[in-house]
Amino acid sequence: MKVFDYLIVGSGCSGAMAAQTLVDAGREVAMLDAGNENTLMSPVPQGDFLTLRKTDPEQYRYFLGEDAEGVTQGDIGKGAQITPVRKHMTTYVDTHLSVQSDTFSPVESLGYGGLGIGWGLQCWEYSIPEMRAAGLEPQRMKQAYETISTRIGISGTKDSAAKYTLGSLKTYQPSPTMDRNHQAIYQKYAARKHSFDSKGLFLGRTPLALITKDTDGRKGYAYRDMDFYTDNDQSAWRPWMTINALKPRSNFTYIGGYLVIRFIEKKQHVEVICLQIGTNKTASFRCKTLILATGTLGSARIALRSLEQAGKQLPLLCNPYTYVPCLQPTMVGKAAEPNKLGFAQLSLFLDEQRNNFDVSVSSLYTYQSLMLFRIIKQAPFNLRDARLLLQYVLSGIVIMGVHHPDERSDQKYISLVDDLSSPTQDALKIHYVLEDDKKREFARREKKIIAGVRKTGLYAIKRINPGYGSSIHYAGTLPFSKKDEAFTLRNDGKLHGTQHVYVADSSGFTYLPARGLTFSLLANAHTVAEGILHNAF
Amino acid sequence: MKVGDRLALEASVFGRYIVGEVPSATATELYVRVVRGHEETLAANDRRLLSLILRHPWTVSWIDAGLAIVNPHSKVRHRLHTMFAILESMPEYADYFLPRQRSPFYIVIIAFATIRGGFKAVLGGLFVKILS
Repeated sequence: MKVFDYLIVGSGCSGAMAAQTLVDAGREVAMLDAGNENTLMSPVPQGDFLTLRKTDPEQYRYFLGEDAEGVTQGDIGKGAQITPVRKHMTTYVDTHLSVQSDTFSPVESLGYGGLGIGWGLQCWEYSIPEMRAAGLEPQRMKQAYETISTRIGISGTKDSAAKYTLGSLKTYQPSPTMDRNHQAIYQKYAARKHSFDSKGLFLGRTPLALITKDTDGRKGYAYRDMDFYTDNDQSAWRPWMTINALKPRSNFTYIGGYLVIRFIEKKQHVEVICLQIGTNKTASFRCKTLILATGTLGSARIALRSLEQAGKQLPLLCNPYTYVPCLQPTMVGKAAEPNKLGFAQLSLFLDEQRNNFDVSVSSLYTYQSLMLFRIIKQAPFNLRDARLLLQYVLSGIVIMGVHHPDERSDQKYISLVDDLSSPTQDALKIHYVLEDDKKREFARREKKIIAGVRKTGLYAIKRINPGYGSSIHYAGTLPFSKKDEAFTLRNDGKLHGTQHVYVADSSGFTYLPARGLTFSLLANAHTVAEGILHNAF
Repeated sequence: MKVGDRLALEASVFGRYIVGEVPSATATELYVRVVRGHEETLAANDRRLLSLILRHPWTVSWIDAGLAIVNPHSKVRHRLHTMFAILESMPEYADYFLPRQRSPFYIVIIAFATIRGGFKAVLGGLFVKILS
C-alpha cells in the first residue's frame, strides 16, 4: 500500500490552504475527502438576478430546487443562506455526522470545499490581543494573512474602521461599489462619526474574499447579485478553486468519497481508517504525516475515536449570533436596483473599551436575491397582503447579523456517545448554554448597536435569535496548550500524544473573537503547514 | 376526486389568491409534483380547512390570515407558502414579487394593505379558532 508523505483530511478552507503551502514547497501531498459535489443541478446560467427572474423559465431549479427543497417549513433558522445550488455541502451530514443535542444545532459539511462552499467571504484580521487570547502567534499570523490575501484575493478599504477590518494588511484590491442602501448608511455615519466614536461604535467597509479586478483567470466582480447561487465568474474565492488548481500538479493527489473515522499511529506510518461514502465499506490509507482539517467538530470526532478515551469531554467555542431585519424608510418604494451584491458591505464594531478586544460585530446586508418566500412567513399577515407590502418595503430592508465573542466555560462541551443508527456507530453529543450574565451582556450590546444604527436611518423590526450553533463559527475543541495533555495541540498544530498528527483547522483556538474566523482559519492552516515544513517554530 | 386533480385545484385556488390569476400549467404541474413528493399526512384540522378552501375559495385569505397568527406552522400554510415560492420563481409572475417602484399613492397603498392585513388577521384568527 502506498504511503503518502502528507495526507490532508478535508477540502474546506483549512485543507485547501495547508495543501497549497505543502504542494508549493514541492512536497508530495494527498487530500482525503468526502467531497460531495453538485451533480444534480444543471449550471446556473450567466446573467444578473433581475434579468434571470424575468426571463428564465428554469429559474425555479436554482432558486427553489428541483423539488422546491428550498421552501422549508418552520422559521428561518441556521443556514438560511444555503440555497439549493449549494445544498450538496450538507449532503450525508445528517446520516454520517450524527449529532445529539437539545441546545445546539451545528452546520457541518461533507461537500467538496467544505463550509467554504457557502462562506460569506468576510476577511477580518484578528487584533493582536485577540490572537494572543486565541493562542495564535501574532507575528506569524500577520505574515500568513499577507500570504493568504495574495493567494485568494481580498478587497477592502482603509477607512476609519480599518483597525477592525483590514488591520495591517497590505495586499488587497479596492472594495466593490456599495449599493444605494449602504451608501446612504455610510454617509449618515460619516456625518455623525464623532457621536458614534464616543459610544465605541465604528463602521467600515467589510473586507471580502472577492476580487474586483480580473486576476489569474478569475474575473473581477460583475454585480450580478447572484452570489447565493453561483460562482460563475470565480470572483468570490471558494476552497474548491484552490484544489482544482492543485489537481493537475504531479505532487498532489485528491481522493474523494471517503469519510475519515480514525487514525492509528504505527512505527513507520499513520494508518487512516475511513468509510466509503455510499457503500459504508471500510477502507484505509497510509501516510507519514497526517493533517486533520475537517473543521473543529470533525477533527474532535476523529481524535476522540483515535485516542479512545470514553466519555472524554472537550470544550467548544461558537459565536453567539442574532440577526435583526431592519427597515431603511428612505429606500421604501424604490425600484429594484440592478447592480447589487449579496455579501456584507459594511460592518459595525462595538468596542466600548477601545482596546480591540471583546468586540461585538454587526454585518449589514441588503435583501433582494434571497427572494420574498424566505421571509414572508415572518410577517403576521396573509400572504397576499404581505406580498404587496413587501414589494414596497423590500428595497428598504437591510439585514444586520450580530456576532459576539466566545470563550470557554464548563457549560460548553462535546463528547462522543454510541449511536448504532449511524454508519460511524457514534454521535457527537453537544451541550452548549450561555451563562445568564453573558446573555444579559450580549442583549445589552445588541440594544446599543440597534440604537446606534438608528442614527444611520436603519430601524430594527425585530431581534431574532436562531439558536446556538447558527453562526456556523465553531472552534476550540482541541485547544492549544503548552502542557503535553491529551486532546490539546502544541502551538505548531501537532496533536499532543502523537508523533505525526497535526490539526490545521480552528480546533486549537482558545478564544473565538466575534470577527468571523475564516480568514484566521486560512492563515492558521498556512502556518501549521509551514511549521510542518520547517519542523519547528 | 383523484389526488392529482385535487392538488391541481389547490394550485389554481392558491394561485388566484396570491397573484389574482389562474397559475400557468408549469406552475400547477410543479406544485402537484412537489406536494405529492412530500407525501405529508394532513391532520384532521388541516384537512377540514383545506376542504373548506376548495369548496369556498373566498375563505382562503381569511384562513391564511388566521393561520399566520394562530398556527403559522400549519401544513395548510406550508402548502400556500410552497405555491407562493413556485409563483415567485416563474418569470411570468416576476413583477408580482420584485420590488415595486413607488407610485404617488404608495403610502396610501401601504396603509391600506396594512389595515386590511391586520383586520383579516384578527377576524381570520377567530374564524380558524372556531373551525378548530
